[in-house]
Amino acid sequence: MTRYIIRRLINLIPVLIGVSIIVFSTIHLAPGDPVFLMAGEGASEETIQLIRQQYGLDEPLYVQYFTWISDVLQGDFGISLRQRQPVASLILGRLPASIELALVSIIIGTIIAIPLGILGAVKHKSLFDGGSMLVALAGISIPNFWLGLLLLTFVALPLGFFPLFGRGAGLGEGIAHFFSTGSLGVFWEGVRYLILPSITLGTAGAALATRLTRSTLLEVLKQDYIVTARAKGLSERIIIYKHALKNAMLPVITVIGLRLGVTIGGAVVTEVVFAWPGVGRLIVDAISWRDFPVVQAGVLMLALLFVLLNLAVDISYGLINPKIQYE
Amino acid sequence: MGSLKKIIRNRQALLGLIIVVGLILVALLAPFIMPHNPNQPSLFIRYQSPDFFAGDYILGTDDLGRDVLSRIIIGSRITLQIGIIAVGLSLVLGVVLGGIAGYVGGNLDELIMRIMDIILSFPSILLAILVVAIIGPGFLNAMLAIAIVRTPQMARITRAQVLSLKEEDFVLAARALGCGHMQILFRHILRNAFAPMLVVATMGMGTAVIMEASLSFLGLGTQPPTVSWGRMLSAARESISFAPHVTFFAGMAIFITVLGFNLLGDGLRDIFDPRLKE
Repeated sequence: MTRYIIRRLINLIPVLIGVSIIVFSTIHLAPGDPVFLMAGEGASEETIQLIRQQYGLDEPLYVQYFTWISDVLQGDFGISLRQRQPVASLILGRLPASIELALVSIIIGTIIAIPLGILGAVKHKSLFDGGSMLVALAGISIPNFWLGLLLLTFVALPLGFFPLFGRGAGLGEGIAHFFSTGSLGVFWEGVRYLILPSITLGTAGAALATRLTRSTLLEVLKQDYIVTARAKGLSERIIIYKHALKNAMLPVITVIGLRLGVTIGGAVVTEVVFAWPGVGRLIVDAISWRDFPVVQAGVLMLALLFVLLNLAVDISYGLINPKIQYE
Repeated sequence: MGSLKKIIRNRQALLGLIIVVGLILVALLAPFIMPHNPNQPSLFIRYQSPDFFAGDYILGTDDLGRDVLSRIIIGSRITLQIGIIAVGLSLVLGVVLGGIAGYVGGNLDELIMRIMDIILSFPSILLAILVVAIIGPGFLNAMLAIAIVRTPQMARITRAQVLSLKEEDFVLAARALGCGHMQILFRHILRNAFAPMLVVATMGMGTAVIMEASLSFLGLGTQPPTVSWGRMLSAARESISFAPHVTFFAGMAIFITVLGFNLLGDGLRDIFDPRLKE
């Protein structure tokens, strides 16, 4: 097992180098000299030369890459061209909002998906099963920004209960507030802001999890030990909840774990719809301002998070399931 | 039993097929079935509400007074092109790369699949946004971005198929008969890998359509005056509080289309290989 983890970590190195090269290249592949972007319009020739030297942009590309990557490894992502602030602190300021949204949407999705999937498998080929599978397929097919807009138009606007955009103080702040003052007001405020964006972001994942729970459970119910359990005269309830579900849940949990990375990175569009102050929206805004240091750092952070989360899921999969053998 | 018969017997696949064929017909017949000129603005009839029975504008009009129904009909052409171009491109790239990786093996396999791993290390919509940010927004650039993002999946599936098929007896027989490598790979192996690839390509159509709509929604995809559903949705965002019908119908068109491709893909998977059933 330790050898497997070490091998996976070693395999990760070329991938991360590749990712960093792609991210580094963005500023050089994009049309236009980055120096002009940094200097702004109407800058004098001298200013441009100065910036070129100051940022080392007169060096060969590979030198620039090594300078950049060694800065990045020390946590220095440069200065935002537009906001004139260190990029690292901009990203770190947005990260909690992204993670909060992704986590809550996964949790809500799981709470809905697993019971639906179980019921679908238990009532296999019933009207309920067919209906829930169709709903799940619809959940995969719905463009999430449209779902978000629909929720805004037909839920938020008429009810007036859910805020139309933004995040409020955030859940973490709400919990801290509860412990310091004993009042849950700030926390509930955060929840109100979170509900619609979480539904928007979590629907696709929940739909996938529903389908997977159902199909895995159906597969498990065909196994010999289930036949044995039935032959012993155990009740259907015990067979499903004690024997089958335990074995069916492993792949489901893995997929939900893998969704976390997808959800954080894929939240871009949802964040734009609800003006959610996450990393995804920061990147999209930075693209329209051509603020490349922010784009680079944001994409690099999300990709890194994505890769590490997936690795963590893979490893914990091996830890939970002793049947998995690693060569 | 012929494949078509199997599709007709599978209710899900049949519904998917009907939607997809319907989309193709609408796209082909667009000039004949559009009730109005989709690009004709008319400031006197801005934001007309839909009127399904008596009105001249069944689905209403948009911010410039253009007929929503006609714009959805003409937009189907772009949607279909998105599916065909983006999926076609990723199919070609994926099959060639995955086929070579699986067939040749060794260091080349390692190199190709590591590059695919790198692409897969980015959340897909994020990478598509990054690619468009580099090469600039626009219809074809968005297609290229989607194709790049979708290639690793095709490559992985092709490679897996090639790996499992290349030890089969019929490949050995072909080799014994003196077939060249290219002929064995493309003629004998990949032909047998057709079914799973068709399933993935069909599902990929839906993903490509959603991705293009997302990019257009962010202003990075199709640019005006080309009419795309994602673009319509995005343009109608400001008016959503008093004229939600534009957003609603454009999104509905995307949703039904994607659902159609997914139903068909799901059904095809059940038909070709019940073991693959998720």
